Amino acid sequence: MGLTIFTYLAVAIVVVLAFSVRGRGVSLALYRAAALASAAYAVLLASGYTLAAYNWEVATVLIRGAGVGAITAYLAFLRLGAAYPSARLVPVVDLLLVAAVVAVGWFMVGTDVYVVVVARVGVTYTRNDGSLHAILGAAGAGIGLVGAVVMAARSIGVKNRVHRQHLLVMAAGLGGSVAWGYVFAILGPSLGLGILYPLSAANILPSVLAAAYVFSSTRAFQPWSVARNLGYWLIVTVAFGVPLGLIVGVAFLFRESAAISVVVFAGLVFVVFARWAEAFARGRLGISRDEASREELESAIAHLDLSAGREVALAELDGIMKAALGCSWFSAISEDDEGSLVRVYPDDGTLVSPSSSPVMEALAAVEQRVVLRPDLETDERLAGYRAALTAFFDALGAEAIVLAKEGRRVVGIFAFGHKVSGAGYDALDYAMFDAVHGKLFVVAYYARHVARESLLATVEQELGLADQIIRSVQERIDPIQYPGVSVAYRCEAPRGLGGDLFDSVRISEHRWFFVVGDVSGKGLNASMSMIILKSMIRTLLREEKDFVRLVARANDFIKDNLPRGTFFAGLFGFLALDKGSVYFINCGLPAMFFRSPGLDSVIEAQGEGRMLGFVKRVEPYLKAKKLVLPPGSRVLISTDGIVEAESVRGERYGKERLMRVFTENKSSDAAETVDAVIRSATSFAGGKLDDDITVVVIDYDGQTREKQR
Amino acid sequence: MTGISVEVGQRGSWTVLTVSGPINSYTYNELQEHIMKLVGRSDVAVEMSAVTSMTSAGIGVLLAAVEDAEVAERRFVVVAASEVVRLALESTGFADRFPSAPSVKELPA
Repeated sequence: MGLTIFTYLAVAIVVVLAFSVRGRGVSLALYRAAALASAAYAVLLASGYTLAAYNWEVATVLIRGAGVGAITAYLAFLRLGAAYPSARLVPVVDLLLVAAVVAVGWFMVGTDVYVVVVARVGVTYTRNDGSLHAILGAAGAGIGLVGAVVMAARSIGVKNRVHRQHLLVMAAGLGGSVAWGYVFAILGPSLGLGILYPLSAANILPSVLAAAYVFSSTRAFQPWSVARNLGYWLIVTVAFGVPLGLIVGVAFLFRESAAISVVVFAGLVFVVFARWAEAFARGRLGISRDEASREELESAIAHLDLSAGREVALAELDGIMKAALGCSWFSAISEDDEGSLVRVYPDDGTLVSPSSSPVMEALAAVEQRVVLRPDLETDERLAGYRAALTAFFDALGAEAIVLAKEGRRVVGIFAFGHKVSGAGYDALDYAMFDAVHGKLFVVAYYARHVARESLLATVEQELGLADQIIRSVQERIDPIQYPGVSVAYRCEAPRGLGGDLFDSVRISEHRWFFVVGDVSGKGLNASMSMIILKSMIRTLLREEKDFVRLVARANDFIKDNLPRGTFFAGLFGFLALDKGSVYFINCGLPAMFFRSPGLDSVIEAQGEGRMLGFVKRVEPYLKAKKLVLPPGSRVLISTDGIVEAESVRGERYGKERLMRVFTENKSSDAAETVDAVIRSATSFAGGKLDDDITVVVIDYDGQTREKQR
Repeated sequence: MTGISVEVGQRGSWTVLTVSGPINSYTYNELQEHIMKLVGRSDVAVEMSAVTSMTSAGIGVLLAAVEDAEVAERRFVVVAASEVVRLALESTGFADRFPSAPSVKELPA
């Protein structure tokens, strides 16, 4: 096997890359054809030389086939380079190319002109080349080189900076492949380094890697940044890889006497060197510099003084973003009460897009939260919305936008003008926007819900906000309406402003998602955190299919974006009403009671739970549970405001009292039971509750459902 | 409504806040103000043996203090937590997130 293992590794990588990139159209088909032909070439070459010792006839056919594979791959790359990025099927040309490949294939495989015979005796290979071997080999490499030259030449005339870079990257990759093949297949053997010949087929990597990058990247990169990272890679490889190789090499001298010890030692040395190299790269070489500048920006946005009023806060954000990105202007656009988009900074009240326009449709539909202008042309996922989004960018004169969305609803948009330096927005800027998206989301939500300063001056600030917040909370619930199911809830805050939350979202005909809980803090801060979290959960619900990951991402959002010390005690659930089941994850909610008519008893169902916002990686602590709801069953869920209500004597209301009220009201409907619980706790606390409370009751009457069927 | 009292003292490198009374949505502000003033500047210990009740408002103050101290590379410790404080911290599922010490005398050097 020896060095041939690298060829098979390269083939595995190439096959994965052939199918892992996203996109569509003829360009993608050409890329896949080139990648698969490259893989076929490498496999045939490697297996041909392996079989040469056992069956020279089969080996000879395989080696001939490898030559055909190489020529096919280079032709596909040439065709791709000639038409990228808007390759279209040209029937005459493409049929001619296919016919040429078939004819050359027959000629090379079916005759002796390329290779007469390949055989191996002992460790010596014998290859008798055919009369046209040199010409065919040179022709294959020539097609590859022509492909690279065509790509490089076309890049000069392409206007789009991203496509220009794409063509140059592919040209470099293709040129690299040809050069690699020449060095290991021709130059090496002529210099007496024939032992390295098996590495020649791994030359498929540069061309396919470069093309895969092109098809998975939609934005430009900074050449200096790439050069810098390559430089770092070289320094780290030389400074750490060489001594590591020497140490492992010396250790392997003892492999026969202590094989296991040598392997373990090699593994340990590798880990130590890898960590050492990483620390060196991050510290001395400053690889973490980009990361640090992102963190600085994130921190600056997090420290915006939102209490200073919308205009002041957005003016401050303007300064921060201009300093970080070098953009010529910054603008904030917010959703108004009619669902239209209005410019709020600079606060000129300009209507940017009415509520039911194609632009709003496009903005609601796109999955990306950051869109750069080049993405409009290069990102295939935006293809269906290209016209509307381009019109939106043109109307604003923007070069980049950051979207703050609640599910499909656009809450706000931050738009950025061209850079003062004249450069375009690139992958580094995208990473920067993406890193601070959570913080910008919070500001967008703030801008959406906080009226103009001039208006606020006329009303008592907190009361004015309370109205807006409470109204928006009430408006954003998909009521759970299903035959045989009745859901009632009450969410109350003694000060009018609270952090308690109940939300339900219809997932499908039979399924609802719901969340009940309490965001820590009191008054305005808790309300703002609650509403932001509620929106983010809805957005995550759209992005995340895994229940545990959904909750873990909500935790990350709280930890990274809400004020320090904020946490969430709640319960996330999925109601599968056709199956009569509820799946839930308890995150520190104190009470979830379940009553089954069969047992006629109340049981506590919530189990142990870990609150969100305490640790960075909460996933290992989260447990999803299932509760089967028999017909006639009832579930009661309550936040800590009820359980921890205190009497004038300092006694806690507690779970036992709650359970008793739940049991006593078994003949009441869901809404009456919710009222009874709140009445009981309020009366216990001397007529006034101190804390925010939420009580939810779900009645499940599967029999009604059955009858309707 | 009963208030809380917060006394500030010094023990070695530690600033010790001794808190007594209930920590709830009406009283947490006072504790928060003291902690926020101190936690970035010195090592802070909060003695809580005389705390009679603690709601989520109090937990939020302590969590913010732990996080602020981590960012400022300072130490923050809950000392001699009363039973109600211990139960409140355990209810979060992350009681170990709050460094603790059994008494002021046993604070680390």
